[in-house]
Amino acid sequence: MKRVNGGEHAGERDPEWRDWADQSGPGFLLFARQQARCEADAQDLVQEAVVESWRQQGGGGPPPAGLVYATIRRRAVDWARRDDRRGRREIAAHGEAPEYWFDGALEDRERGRLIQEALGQLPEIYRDVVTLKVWGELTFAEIAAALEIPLNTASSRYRYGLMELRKRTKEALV
Amino acid sequence: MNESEQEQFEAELRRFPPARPPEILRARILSVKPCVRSQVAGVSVWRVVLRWLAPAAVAAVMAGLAVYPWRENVPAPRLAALKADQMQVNEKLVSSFDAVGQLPSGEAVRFRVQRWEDQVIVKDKERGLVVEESRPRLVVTPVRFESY
Repeated sequence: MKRVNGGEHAGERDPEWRDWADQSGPGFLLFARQQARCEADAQDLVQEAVVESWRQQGGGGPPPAGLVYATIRRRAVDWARRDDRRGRREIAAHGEAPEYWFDGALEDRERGRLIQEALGQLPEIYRDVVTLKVWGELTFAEIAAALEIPLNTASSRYRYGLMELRKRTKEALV
Repeated sequence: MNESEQEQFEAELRRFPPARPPEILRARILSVKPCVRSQVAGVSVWRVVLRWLAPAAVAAVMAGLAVYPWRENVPAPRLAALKADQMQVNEKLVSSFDAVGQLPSGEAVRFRVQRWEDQVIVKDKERGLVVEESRPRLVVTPVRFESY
């Protein structure tokens, strides 16, 4: 067992994995936070999705981002169905402060929080598509595959979701 | 919203990049890498043994602490003479941190490590005698959904 606050991790030595984790990790966590009931669940979702995606692709380098996003979503649905009691107990036990979903300069912190709130209020079907497109940088084809929806549905949900988000953040961003 | 407005709004949104994962999560993501190698190259028996050695040693030490010290440090003749009229059993959380370990399959698992201090105070008011014992205790809990 290895204490992780400080010290080098084994994957740290592999530039491919390190760059991949730095580039894709924030998007994975943002998406997982929207799917999970608490921060601990979100982080577990990300890790387990990365492991499962890598196994699913049969080894090699880091798994494709689209596959990880799809796995995060599928696992979140499984966990939500599995045990409501566990979720409630965990939320109560953590009693944690809400996490900031976005980075930004200090003066933008408030606007970032407003975007977070607006995103949180969007219906899930729109929020997922908007998040994967804007912050996950997936194509509509990848989004359609990840969410198991037709390509046209992904595209139309994105446009509608973006319009809704714009309405809700108009004062903050304009 | 026309195309130009949409592009402008997307650009506005992208000014707010998703927050970086905490270091512990980054470590957990990167820890997938060594398990990739071990599965491809074949798992060494010694590696498996060594992976389990540390948790087994912790368990052995905890068991030893639970059984051994109380009898040794309080000599039998004193116990016979002591008339305890007050006894306190306390426990205090000294520290708590998260750590990452690996199962023999290579899968990374988060652990919550807590250091407790157990304290027993026995008082014999009549003789003005106070016997106080403190022992450290380590609790290692795997945090996985299967464990709930």
